[in-house]
Amino acid sequence: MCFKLNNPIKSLIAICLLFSLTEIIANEVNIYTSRHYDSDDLLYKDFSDATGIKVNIISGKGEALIERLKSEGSNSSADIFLTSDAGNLWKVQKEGLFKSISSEKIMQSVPVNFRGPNNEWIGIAKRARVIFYNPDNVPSKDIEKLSYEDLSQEAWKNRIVVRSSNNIYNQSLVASMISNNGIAATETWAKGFVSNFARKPQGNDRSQIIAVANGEADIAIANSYYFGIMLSGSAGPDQMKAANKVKMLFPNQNNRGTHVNISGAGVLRNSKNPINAEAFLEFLLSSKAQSHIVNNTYEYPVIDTIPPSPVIAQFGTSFVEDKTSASDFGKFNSEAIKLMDRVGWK
Amino acid sequence: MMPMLDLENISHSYNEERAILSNVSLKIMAGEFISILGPSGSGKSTLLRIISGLEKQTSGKVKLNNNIVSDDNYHSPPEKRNLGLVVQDKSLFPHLNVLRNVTFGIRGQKDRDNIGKDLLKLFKVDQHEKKFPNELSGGEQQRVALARSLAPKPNILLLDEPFSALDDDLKEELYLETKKIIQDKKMTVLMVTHDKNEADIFSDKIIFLENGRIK
Amino acid sequence: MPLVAVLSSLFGEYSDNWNHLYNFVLFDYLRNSAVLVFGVSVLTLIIGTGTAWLVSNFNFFGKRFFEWALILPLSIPPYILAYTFTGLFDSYGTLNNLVRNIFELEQSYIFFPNIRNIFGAIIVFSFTLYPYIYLVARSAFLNQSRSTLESGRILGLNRFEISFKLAMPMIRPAIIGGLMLVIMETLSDFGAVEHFAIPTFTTGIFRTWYGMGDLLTAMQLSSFLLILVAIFLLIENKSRRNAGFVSDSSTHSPIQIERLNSRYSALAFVFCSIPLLVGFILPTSELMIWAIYYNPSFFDDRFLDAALNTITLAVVAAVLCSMTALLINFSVRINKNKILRLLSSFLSIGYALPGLILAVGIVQTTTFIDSNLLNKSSLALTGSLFGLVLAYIIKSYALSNNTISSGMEKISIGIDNSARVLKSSGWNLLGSIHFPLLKTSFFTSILLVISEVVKELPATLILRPFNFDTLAVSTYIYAAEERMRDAAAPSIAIILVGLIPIIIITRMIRSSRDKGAM
Repeated sequence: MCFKLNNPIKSLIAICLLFSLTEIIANEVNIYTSRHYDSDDLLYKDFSDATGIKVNIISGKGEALIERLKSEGSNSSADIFLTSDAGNLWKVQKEGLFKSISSEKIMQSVPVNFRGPNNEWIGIAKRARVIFYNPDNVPSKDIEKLSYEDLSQEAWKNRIVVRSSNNIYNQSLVASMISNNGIAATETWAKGFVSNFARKPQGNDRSQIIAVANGEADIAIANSYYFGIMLSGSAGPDQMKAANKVKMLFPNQNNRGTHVNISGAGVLRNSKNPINAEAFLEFLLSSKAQSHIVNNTYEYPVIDTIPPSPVIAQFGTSFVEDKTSASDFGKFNSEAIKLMDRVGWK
Repeated sequence: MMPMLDLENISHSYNEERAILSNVSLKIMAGEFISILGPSGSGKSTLLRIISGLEKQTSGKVKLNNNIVSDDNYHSPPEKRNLGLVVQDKSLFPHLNVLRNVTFGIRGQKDRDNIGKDLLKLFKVDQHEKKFPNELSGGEQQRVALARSLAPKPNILLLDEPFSALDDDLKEELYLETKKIIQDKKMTVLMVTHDKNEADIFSDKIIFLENGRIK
Repeated sequence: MPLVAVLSSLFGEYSDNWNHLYNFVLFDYLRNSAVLVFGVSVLTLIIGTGTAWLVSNFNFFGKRFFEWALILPLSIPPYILAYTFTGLFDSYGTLNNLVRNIFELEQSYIFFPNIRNIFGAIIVFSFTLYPYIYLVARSAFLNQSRSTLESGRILGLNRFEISFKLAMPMIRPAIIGGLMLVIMETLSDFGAVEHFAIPTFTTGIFRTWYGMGDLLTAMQLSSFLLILVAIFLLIENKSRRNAGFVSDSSTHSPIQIERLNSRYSALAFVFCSIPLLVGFILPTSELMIWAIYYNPSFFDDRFLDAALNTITLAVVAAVLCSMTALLINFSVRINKNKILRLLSSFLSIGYALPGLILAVGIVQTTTFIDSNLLNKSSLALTGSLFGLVLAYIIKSYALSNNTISSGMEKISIGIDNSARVLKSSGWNLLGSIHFPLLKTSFFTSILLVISEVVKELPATLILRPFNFDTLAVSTYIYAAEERMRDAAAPSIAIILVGLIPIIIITRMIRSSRDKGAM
């Protein structure tokens, strides 16, 4: 019996070389993404078919991808960073890893509050963090003019469910409140809010909606698109049944508007294929891509000409959006977490 | 005549306080059978480990067949010394059959199977050559171990209480056979034991070891 | 090196966030982690040693089957069990719906208790990790010598007293090694505790990193975790060296196997069925149903590619990792090299490091090598499979080291001595004596690493090259979007791929044992 230590190592090196070689050739665009949707794959394929540009993907946790980008520095082969949260866009922007987008076409289609301060990034789809209620248990007059701020009132004691504060959507919501109301007011609010929880935060956004459907609680905070997925039936008949029992409500319609977060993307400073990268962003904003996104992920479009999916459009399309800059979600994220820790939002 | 094994002032200790061996000097001539007799803890097994090179003495010189194999500056590892070693038990390779065990030390040689079979016949275990060690009795295992140690025609055979794990009647039988084979082959042997009877049967000379010193 | 990269954070600045952590959450994290580790330890010990004791000492209905089937839950990652458990036991999960339908109860009636809490997590970890203890306990029981146990009998102990007063305490050192693996894996997990929303130390690490954007503090937290684990390991090492009562495998007579009467046989059957049912049959059948119902197309288009990648990576990593462990342990044994022994323990703590933190360490290391030592203008190592394989090796070294070093301890030093005197040393000694004797341990090590790599997710996500999917990645893509049911198809694939080595290797181990060669 003898050891051939060399062989596995050699073949390993060969495999490594093979992979680094394939990355050098070809007309392509390299994307780091933290969006993990099957439907995005179809989008990439459409783009390749239309332009002949090959799309290479690494998907992963946004924060970890950012670390990889930082470490890779000027040698990075990534062209685009795509993410489902504004906070991550802000982090990349703060690290100076984005370059400003130059395309006029892009600037015309995306509203200013969904762009980086120097056009480092753009939103490609929106999601609203809304309130779900069970019309059997909550009379509609109680909540007509409801705002997030109202949820700290005594009247909601033991009636609210929301997921854990680990979740970025909750962090962004609290960050937006800090941006608008200041830390002290938000902390007072959060104390009351947490004391109104019907149960210890647990599960995902959909379990909150289900809890309301089943009468475990009267009000849930969750993202709009999860509701769309549930209603569409693609998550199974049980979830569809549950979703049909609840109604969606846009809070803060009489003041600053409903909290809206974005999926967004930017071109990286060290991009080796910047032209392809901008072409890809333009493609994401095309009517075709936008309607593909809204009808598959149930997000809201960023351009006006495309309607949202009919599944969620029934609850209103022209709601007032909070215009707080998406950059602020990133800026106040750390404060938001600490605040939630202090008030015991698990 | 040059001694086959020459130990000069061997001392050994694991820590400063207690010496295992102190100033042991010993010469064994070719063809001699010498026994070291001593109670357990007297350092006799350590002495064998030093001679075989499994351990390096703290000070002193080991000469084998007139070559220095270990002194203050130089230490030749056991695999370079051409020795035979048989210990109490559990030294056979469990994954090799009896014949492969015996021929292990002469792996490169063409006629190894014949040498092995001859030795097995001498020790009367040739009928077991295809068996694995765990299928043998204790006495048979020691016979195989003895055969194995003789296969490479070692300069010197070191025996570390090779019979102590065996029943008394088995011992007697194996004593006589082993003695005959060793005499026929004119082997140089150093045996350590705590059994006076064993030492008397075999030895040309008996050396007493106590607390790491020769008496 | 990547471990050093993580530990070096200790010498960085300590930010204000430490104040915050200390004042509000740190103790909560520590308490939860401690409760989790304690609960999982107790439960895995009961399940692991209990089942091992039954199958190795007694004959009962189904014993031959349980012998290997009890390893199966090893193929299920804790996070997948967590997903399926919520699918099964949630207030509107499969089982509660079933109960309601059968008994025609009201929609609000909830029969099964909520499992999204620390007790649920303890159950999830215990039923996926107990095989680590089962494996070591079984081989320790099998290696116990009959004479020791019989002398107990002569001293007047009855059958059960022998088990609890002699057999169990005698295998303690072996079991502690398995328990260390369980503890490390529990501490490093993020997926399952995140899903159950339990604020553990690991959740804290990620919360600090993601939420506060403070990677340095997160790495400092990880370092403390590593140091804690290192202390555990040292204690274990010491206890093992002080208590060398695992008997040696070559010549003793095997323990006597007793036939159980029908009542005890039924009890044994039930006891062995529970872990298999909870840890394997229940989740796989639920996943199977989901997979067929929701995402059967996965098996057409993505499966082959991802499965092939997974298997290749897993096998390469497992072989390299096991060989590394074999070489290091061999050198430690032959040269009594203290530095190597330290290195070995040091590498072992990698198992307790959360995958993503390890990944960051690796990215920092490979980019450093790329830009300072290799070609300065391109990244040869970063984002190559090299980094990925390196990550797997560091992550699973503890598994290999544990099996191989305990296998090596069973080889009597007399065998080394005989071989060396018979002119065998170095590679020859390793190849002709140690490797053949360690075959079972070596294959077990490969098996454990493969099933670890197949399950490993976070490091894969971040270190992989472009367009490179493994099965765990496919699972994550759905699970991250909270589409557990779509995640079922790739989860089943993970389990299937993980099963292949388990079945092959248990067969190999059994046949080598039956041949009597070892």
